[in-house]
Amino acid sequence: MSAPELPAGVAEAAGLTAGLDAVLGAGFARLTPDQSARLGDLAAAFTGTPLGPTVSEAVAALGRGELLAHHLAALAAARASLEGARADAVLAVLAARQGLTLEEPEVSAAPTPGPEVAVRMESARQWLVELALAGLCQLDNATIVPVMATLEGIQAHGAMGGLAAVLTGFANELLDHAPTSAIADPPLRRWADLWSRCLLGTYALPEVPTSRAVSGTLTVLGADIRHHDHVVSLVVHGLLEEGGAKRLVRTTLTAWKVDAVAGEEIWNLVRPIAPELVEALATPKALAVSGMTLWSTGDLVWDGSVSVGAAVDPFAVDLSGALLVAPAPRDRHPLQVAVPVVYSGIAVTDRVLDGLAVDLTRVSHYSDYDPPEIDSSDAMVALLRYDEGFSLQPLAGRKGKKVFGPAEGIAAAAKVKAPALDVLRERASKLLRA
Amino acid sequence: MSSFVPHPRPKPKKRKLQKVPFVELFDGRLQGVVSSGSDIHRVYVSLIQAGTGNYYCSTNNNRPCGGLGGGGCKHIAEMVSNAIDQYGAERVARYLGLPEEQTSAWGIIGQLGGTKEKVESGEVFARFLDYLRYVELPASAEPRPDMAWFVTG
Repeated sequence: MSAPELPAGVAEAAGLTAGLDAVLGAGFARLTPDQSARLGDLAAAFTGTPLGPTVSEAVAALGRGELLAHHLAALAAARASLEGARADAVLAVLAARQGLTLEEPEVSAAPTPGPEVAVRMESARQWLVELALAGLCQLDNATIVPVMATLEGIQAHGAMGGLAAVLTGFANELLDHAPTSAIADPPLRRWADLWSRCLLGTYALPEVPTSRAVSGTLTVLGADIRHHDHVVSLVVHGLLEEGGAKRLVRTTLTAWKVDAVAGEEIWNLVRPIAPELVEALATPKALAVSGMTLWSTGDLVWDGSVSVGAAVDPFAVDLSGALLVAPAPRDRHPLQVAVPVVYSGIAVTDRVLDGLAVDLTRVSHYSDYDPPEIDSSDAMVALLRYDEGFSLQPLAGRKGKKVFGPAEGIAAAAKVKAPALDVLRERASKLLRA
Repeated sequence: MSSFVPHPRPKPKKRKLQKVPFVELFDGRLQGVVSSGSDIHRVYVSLIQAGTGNYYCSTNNNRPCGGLGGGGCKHIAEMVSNAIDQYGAERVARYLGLPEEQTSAWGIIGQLGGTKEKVESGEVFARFLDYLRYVELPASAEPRPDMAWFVTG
């Protein structure tokens, strides 16, 4: 197939967010007339939309030096809605190209945060406001380090699990780069994304998607492994056959970690959450699941029972006609677009497959799918992605009878003799006793 | 500019955890916890300040390390060596603000140019305990779209 065409407006919307990002990089405390004008363009683009009045008011207030959290939040919301519109357009193109039926999720209202959660959200919000005033490209340790105490409180509350994961990753990334003014080419768009996501996350808990219990046969396609210094989060993509219906689903397994736990040991952090699922990544077998919770977002929560069936070939799975659900509204962002695709009898030429660039940027080193293996694969499971262009993220592959992917690491993890955590705990006990 | 820019990092090498259970680049310091070579019950805290190159090493009950002469002790060298395994020499040298690229622990130490400057070992122990806190936090089977931005570490 040829490369999908970029829908109208997607590139233009990115231009509008770039204006806001430039201000975030330089700092709202030093707003120049030129920057105010770019914020004005952003506000103008929202004229006639429900966000319009709020964004205009925020831009005017910030221009007058009223540097308040809720004005910054209005801009973060504007930015998120532009990214959401881009994601919607891109996802619709990809679903049509792959012959998938795109569904909308149903979400109900977010739970109201209790007082302990609310106070921690507020504390994180204050820190994010400080970052915006100082400028993401003007940060030093003194501005970044104070969030460490806040992080501990947020990590301790399961209700804020998502905010804790992104805030921890963002704060540590900034610390790695401090002072950020010394960086020649700061990843401004990325940091503005993370800042916006964190700031909006301090105003409301995620909406709860509707859900139902499902039973059916799950075929595991592959895993997208995401991680930063303190979290590893595995997204297992699969095809769930329920009665006559085929549905693309995801199961996410997330664990906290430290950097000493590296290499194959990361599998031992996620395996206990869903042992059969992790095993199926190494040795593909049909999984008969029953009584599992399926969120209307297509997320299959591993809370039911499972029985392991016959061997299956993930590279021979036919996904055409399957149902694919769009992400929940707050998660609509081009980076969240991940459409599974299965190829067999292929040749990757100059890192191009199916008219798309094979992009290794998001391939984790834990995936055990190395560039030469990717280039020589004759079958592949990948995710269709969008970030400044359409691309493929390889998850697993095969050449002849040789399978590439996480199987090796999963097998090695089961044989680890001196787990890193045991060593760390023993050493820590020595210093506590002294 | 891309929304997804993993800051490229070399794949970490296996560290000698028994020898150096904890090492980090934090708040302008390379710091770590180093096991004593002679006494299984003793651990040292070693650190180097970025910029000044000042350094210190003491036991867990704040006794200065006997090996701290002019230019670092073996615990500091072991810490730097493990930091190189964890982060790569380039990142360690850059964090410490060294002018020239270095690939070995003693190469880095030789360039520091600082002097002994006392820091309470408790500060670093507290960071180690905070670090261990992470592995006690519960795992989750719920979606984590927030992790879509990360693929390093």
